[in-house]
Parts: sequence; C-alpha cells; structure tokens
Amino acid sequence: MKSSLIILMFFVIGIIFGLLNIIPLKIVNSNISTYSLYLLMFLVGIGVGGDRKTWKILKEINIKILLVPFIVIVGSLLGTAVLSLFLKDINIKEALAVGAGFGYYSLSSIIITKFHGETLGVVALIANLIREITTILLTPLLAKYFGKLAPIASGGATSMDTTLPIITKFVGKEYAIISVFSGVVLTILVPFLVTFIIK
Amino acid sequence: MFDVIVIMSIGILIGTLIHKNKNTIQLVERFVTYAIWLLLFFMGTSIGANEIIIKNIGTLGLQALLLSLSAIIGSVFLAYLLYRFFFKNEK
Repeated sequence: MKSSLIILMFFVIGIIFGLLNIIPLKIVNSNISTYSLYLLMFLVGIGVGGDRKTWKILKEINIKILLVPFIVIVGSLLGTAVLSLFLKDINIKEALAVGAGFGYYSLSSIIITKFHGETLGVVALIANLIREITTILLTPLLAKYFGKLAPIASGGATSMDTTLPIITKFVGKEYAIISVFSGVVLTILVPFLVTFIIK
Repeated sequence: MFDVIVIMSIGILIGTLIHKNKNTIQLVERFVTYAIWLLLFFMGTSIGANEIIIKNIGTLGLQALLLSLSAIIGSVFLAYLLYRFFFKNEK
C-alpha cells in the first residue's frame, strides 16, 4: 500500500508540473521513452525470473490452481468486452487492453500510453487502481458471498502483494498460496497481454 | 509487440540464471521501482499539460470505473463457479 502511494505521488506531482506547463520530457513519441520502456521491461523480467516466490510457487502447481489465474483472465476480458458494447468512446480492443492490466496499474498504463495514447493510458491507470482499491474494500463481502476465490480473482495481479494481507485475513492461510500463485502468473502476463492486445 | 516480448523473455531468462545472486536481484528490483516512479512522473507531466484529458477527466474517470467494475464482476463470477464446483468440497 505504501509503495502504491509513493507511485501515485510521483504521478500527481507530474500532473501538477504539467498543469503549470513545466514539461521536462515528453514520454509519448520520443525515442527516449521507447528505450526506457524496453529497459524497464527487461529489468521487470529479471525481477520476475529471479524472484524466489516464483520458484517456490512452481512446485505447488496443479491443474486446479492453474485454473485460478485462467478464470481471472477470461473473466476480466469477458467483462470489459461486454461493457465495451455499451461504451461509445471505447472500442473492444481498448477495453480489453485496460482489462488486461488486472490491477497492475503502473506497468499497464505505461505500456498503453506508449503504444496507444495518453487518454487510454489515463483510463488504464485509474481503472486498474480502482481494481486494487475495490478489492481491498470488498474482500470481506466477496469472500462471504462468492467464495474464497472471489477476492483473489478480484485482486488480479495485486493478489501477490498489495491485496495479499487482506485476502489472507478473510480466506485463510491455505488460500494464501493460491493468491500468490495467481498474482505471480498474472503479473508476468500483464506486459505480454497488454502489448499483444493494444499493438 | 514482438520486441517487447523478446526483451522481457530475455530478462526472465537472465533472472532465472542469476536468481541465487540476491543482491543483484534486489538492486534490479529497486531500479525497477525508481524507473516506474520516473515514467509515471513523466506520464503525469504530459497528462497535466494535455487539455483534452484534463477537461474530460470526469468522463475518463467514469469509463475507468465502469471498466474496472466489469473486469471485477467478470472474474468474480467465474471465481464463484470455480470455487463452487472444484474447490468447496475439498478437505
């Protein structure tokens, strides 16, 4: 949670700078931003590959656990696809790209801004941030009425870190491992899926 | 698209190879955090200067809220079914 606040703080300070017309570097349409995004994704890759959590979790895999991140992907994409039919400003591709952030707002919004545009990037950032906050707020209700996998599904990629404490509290320790697993898988898939959909 | 996938896959491969070197991984992760701060800061500056976005922030926020809720509802619905039919009666 604290790290999310710091990220947001940088974003908000950036907006204030922009409003005051102090713009040190344009992220869109500049080569620097393309290369810095590549560098970021390379480093994210190293972090993922080198994470001990990723390795521990691989030993726990069975078909049933594998289904959890799978239904989060299908559910998120299906939900946003259906919604896009009712939104006049957002087409299905754009809706799917936002949905494929699974709550990982920093990376998904950076990728969408770069490959599609600032407007959808902002939507992705807000939407995926709301997903994280909603999960934190609704976990008790979700767990009670929709079963122990519901908060994990709602958390998406965040179920491995920011929303893990509250999820564990309400679904029990035996589901914590599923929560981490689902979050890890989705976190790895976000950059691939979002890029694949939007580019 | 291909470039991004290749670059990240190479990263994952290198991460796998050096995962025992905790200090390097930690350093990389800290660098990722700083890079995200920086990129979001720059994203903020160009959004703040983008009058179309600032003018329409209410609409964009509403779209974001709806997209977020539809993604949550979709995945929670499937999670409910999965739990009911595959997980509930275990143990």
